[in-house]
Amino acid sequence: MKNILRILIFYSLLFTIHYSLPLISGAEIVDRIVAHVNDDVITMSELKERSRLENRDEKEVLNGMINRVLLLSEVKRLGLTVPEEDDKTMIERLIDRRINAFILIPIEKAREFYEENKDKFGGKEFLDVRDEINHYLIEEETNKRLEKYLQEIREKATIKIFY
Amino acid sequence: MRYFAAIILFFFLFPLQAYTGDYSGMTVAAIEVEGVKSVKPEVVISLMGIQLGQPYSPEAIREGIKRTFLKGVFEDIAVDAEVMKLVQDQEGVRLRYLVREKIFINDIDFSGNESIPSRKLREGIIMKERDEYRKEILNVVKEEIRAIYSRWGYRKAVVSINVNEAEPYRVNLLIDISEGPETKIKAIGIKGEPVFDIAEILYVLEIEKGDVLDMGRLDKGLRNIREFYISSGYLIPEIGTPEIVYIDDEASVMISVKAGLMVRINFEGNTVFTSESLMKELPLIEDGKVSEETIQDSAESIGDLYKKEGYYFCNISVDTRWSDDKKEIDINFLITEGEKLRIKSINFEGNRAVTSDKLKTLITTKEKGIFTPGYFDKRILEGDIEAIEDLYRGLGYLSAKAKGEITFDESKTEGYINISVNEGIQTIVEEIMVEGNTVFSREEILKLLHFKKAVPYNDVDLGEDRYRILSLYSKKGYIYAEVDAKRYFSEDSSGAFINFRIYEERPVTIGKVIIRGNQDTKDKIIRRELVVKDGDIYDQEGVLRSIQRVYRLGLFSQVKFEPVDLYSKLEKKDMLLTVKERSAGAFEFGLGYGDYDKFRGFLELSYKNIGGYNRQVSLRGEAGSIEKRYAIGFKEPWFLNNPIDFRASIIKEEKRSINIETKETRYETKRTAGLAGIEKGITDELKGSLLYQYEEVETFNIQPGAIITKEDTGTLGISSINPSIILDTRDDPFNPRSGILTGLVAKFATRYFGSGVELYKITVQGSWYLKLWEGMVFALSGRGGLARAFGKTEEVPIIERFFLGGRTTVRGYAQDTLGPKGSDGTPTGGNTFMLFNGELRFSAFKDLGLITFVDAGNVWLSSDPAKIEKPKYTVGVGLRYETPVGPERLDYGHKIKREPGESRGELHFAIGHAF
Repeated sequence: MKNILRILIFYSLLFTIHYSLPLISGAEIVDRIVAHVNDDVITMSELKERSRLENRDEKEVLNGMINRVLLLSEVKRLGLTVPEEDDKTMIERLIDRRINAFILIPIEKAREFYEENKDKFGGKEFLDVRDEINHYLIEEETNKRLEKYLQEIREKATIKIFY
Repeated sequence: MRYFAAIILFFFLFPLQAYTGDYSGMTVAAIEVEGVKSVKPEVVISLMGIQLGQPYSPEAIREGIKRTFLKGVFEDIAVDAEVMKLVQDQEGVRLRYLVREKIFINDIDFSGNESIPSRKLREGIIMKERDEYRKEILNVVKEEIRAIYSRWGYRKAVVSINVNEAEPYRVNLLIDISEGPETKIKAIGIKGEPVFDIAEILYVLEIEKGDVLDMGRLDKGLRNIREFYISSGYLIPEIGTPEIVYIDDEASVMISVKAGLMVRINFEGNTVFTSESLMKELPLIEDGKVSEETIQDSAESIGDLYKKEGYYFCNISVDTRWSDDKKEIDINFLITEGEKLRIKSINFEGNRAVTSDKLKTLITTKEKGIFTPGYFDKRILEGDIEAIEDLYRGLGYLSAKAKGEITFDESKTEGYINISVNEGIQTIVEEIMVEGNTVFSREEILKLLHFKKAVPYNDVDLGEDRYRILSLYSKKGYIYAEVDAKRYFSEDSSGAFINFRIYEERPVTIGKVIIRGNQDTKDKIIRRELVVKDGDIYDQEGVLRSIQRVYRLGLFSQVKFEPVDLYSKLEKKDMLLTVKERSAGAFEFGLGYGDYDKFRGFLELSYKNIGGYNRQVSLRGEAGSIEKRYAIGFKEPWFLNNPIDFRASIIKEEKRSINIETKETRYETKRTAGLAGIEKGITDELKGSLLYQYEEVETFNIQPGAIITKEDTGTLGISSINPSIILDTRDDPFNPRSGILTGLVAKFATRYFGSGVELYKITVQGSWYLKLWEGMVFALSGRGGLARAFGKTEEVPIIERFFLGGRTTVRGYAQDTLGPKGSDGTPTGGNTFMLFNGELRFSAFKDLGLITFVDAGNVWLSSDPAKIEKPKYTVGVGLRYETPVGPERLDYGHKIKREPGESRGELHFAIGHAF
């Protein structure tokens, strides 16, 4: 009985200490700015959330987020916004209009690619895989130009990173 | 014991980790702000938008950070949280907003720049005063300055920038330049096919060996060379970019010049225009070439010039001869001018709904008349036909067609225009349907529309009515509302059925208003001018009105007010108000001339934004031959946080009243006054004020005849309250064309306020302006005043008495000469006056105007009934010349009943209208 009382007292004591502890332990940062991109900011909580969602390193994710903000501000600048549309669709439209629209793959280039990678097509005729090759080459070119485009708008923007 | 230790450890570690970042379910119990300097902590708290007692929410914190950042003054914002004990064992969260402000540039100064003025350097760099300070562009600035120096001939300038902290978050930049040696021109040459002698070209270049290599001068020289070639007939010279080779501090410059095509132009048969004036009209060169096409275009533009002057049948032919080597061309324009064609008559047929007279005034083509030359231009007639069709369409004749033709008499000097109209059927509004409206009733919407039943239908008004419905909705926050406007016609097109389908959507409210760009001005000063506030329904009109009100503070050169997120259909929108501050100080001066006071000048220094609170001070000095005046003024536009002006000023003045003919002094005064009080605009047009004034006035050098009471000489202390009310609906205070100005000003001085004299004084005024028709204004004014002494004061002292006569009162009489006079003929002034003026103002030619006027009025002294005279009448004429501060004027007033010994009338020269 005495023992039980002792344990009880002990636990209640522990309980009090435990709940008053955060008071002693002090404050912690719950959110903050990690980067400015012109008039937009990216906060730590956004970064953490996205990094968890994408399961990628925060630094890498932050870079992606900055690009996204830059592209969105381009969407707004060029008046390509449509109410009620999500950011992704708007960015895709921007890429379509500003980059994809200018890409043309000449047939010689596609054929060249076919000849170089003939073994990978398993003996299929060029005309059968032409669309596939075209698609691949366009995507490759898009990525290349998007990177250049991003670099251009990055140079014009004011970006500060606190991370 | 070991067992216990394990338990303790376990309990200590585990729950602690679970606690991190998890404050959900708790309420915000305290908010603190740290790190603010230029803004108040309340501003941050308000922008963060989290209220005490609100549940803890990471989303709200994130939104708050983003919103606060938009304010534009914070570099870094972090929020920390901490659990705190509340009463009754409850727990809450204490939030701390930790901010760091951006650093701005206060001042940019230059030193060591002996050859280039600081102003030029300041304009040439991207960093400006009041911008955010960014370390990373210091190198850009250095590069920019070096480039400027290099252009001016200093290729070895060294630039260093010192950054000094002026106050917290504000830096001063000192840009130090060591200019180094100048680059001198060692040799200068011309190559290519210059045609002219090289010495001649160098002379035109205006730069010679030994000069400093200044790119600005070099560019100017190259332009000179180009001009020189063009004026010599080489219309397309090729002047290359100079090749510059540097050797130490010297440079050699080589310019390549190719004269190009020689063009000789000749005109034949031109009598109306000189060859020089035709030359200016030629678009001979396009894309650096003279071609058949450009020559044809030139001929056409010559033809157009003639047609504009009425030479409708003018003919231009061109004769072109190229030299064999294609290096020269002769162009000969042969002009057959022909006779001038004038329109004798314009005839309309087929018009029933609109009279021919009305159509005639509508169209730009005019018959020959006193004021119209009656020239004919085919394109203008085409435009007229369109205007007629538009007029008919506006009246519901949707398929109206018009056609215009011209015929000539035998001599081809007179033309006859015939315009035939096919009106078609008029379409009338039969019914208007409104659907989808829940916020406004059908009646409310119909009342607003231009279209009513039985009104002629047209498409333009349909668009206008759709817009009216949209703006009605936008006033209640329905900015996403859509209106489809459709119309259907009856089979014979005589009836229109209109259908407005309204999609109301949800109304929008304003979240928070974020104010940005105000580095000196306090947020509060701007916020109190806003008509729309945090949490209000979004009202576009209110937004526009707020912009106007903020502009009217006079502190900003730019004001923008729009939602942060323009694009998404949010129901709650944060608004960003961006301002650009301008210099709050002003310096003004002016000089004027009048016949009474001769030259008169003023100087004013003012500052409009003391401490960022829009408090204003001004220092003004005025001096003329008969008057000197100095004043210090202070104004607080929101007295005790109410929209009431508080004003205070100290005035010192010295004045001499003179007889304009003999230049003799009637009396002199020295006055020192202090006044303070409030002024309130009750509406935009109605203004009331209440001022307390203490003045000390010394009157001396007074002519004996003007003295009627002992207070007329010596020093007086007058302590008074001065209420006034003024209604002003005039369209332009300097040159009114419509509206009224009416008001009452009173002064009440008694010994209970400590006044040396006791009196009351009331003046009333009523002026009325009416535009009779364009360029003619009728102006009428009545003024009257009453001043009475009471208590121990026997009569109103001279400085408070009324005087009439002169440039703004009764213009047939000299300044201040009406009313009772003393034994030596000096006017004494009176304690009652009445004055009426009437003017007809015509604007004659450009800024010049003519007026005729009638003045009537006089001054009386109630204590001296023997000297009561009838009103004096004057008629007159005047000239006006418009300036931005009102007209300069010259008036002659003629006395209607002249007394023996008086002049016939008086001439006045002054600035501003008489009333």
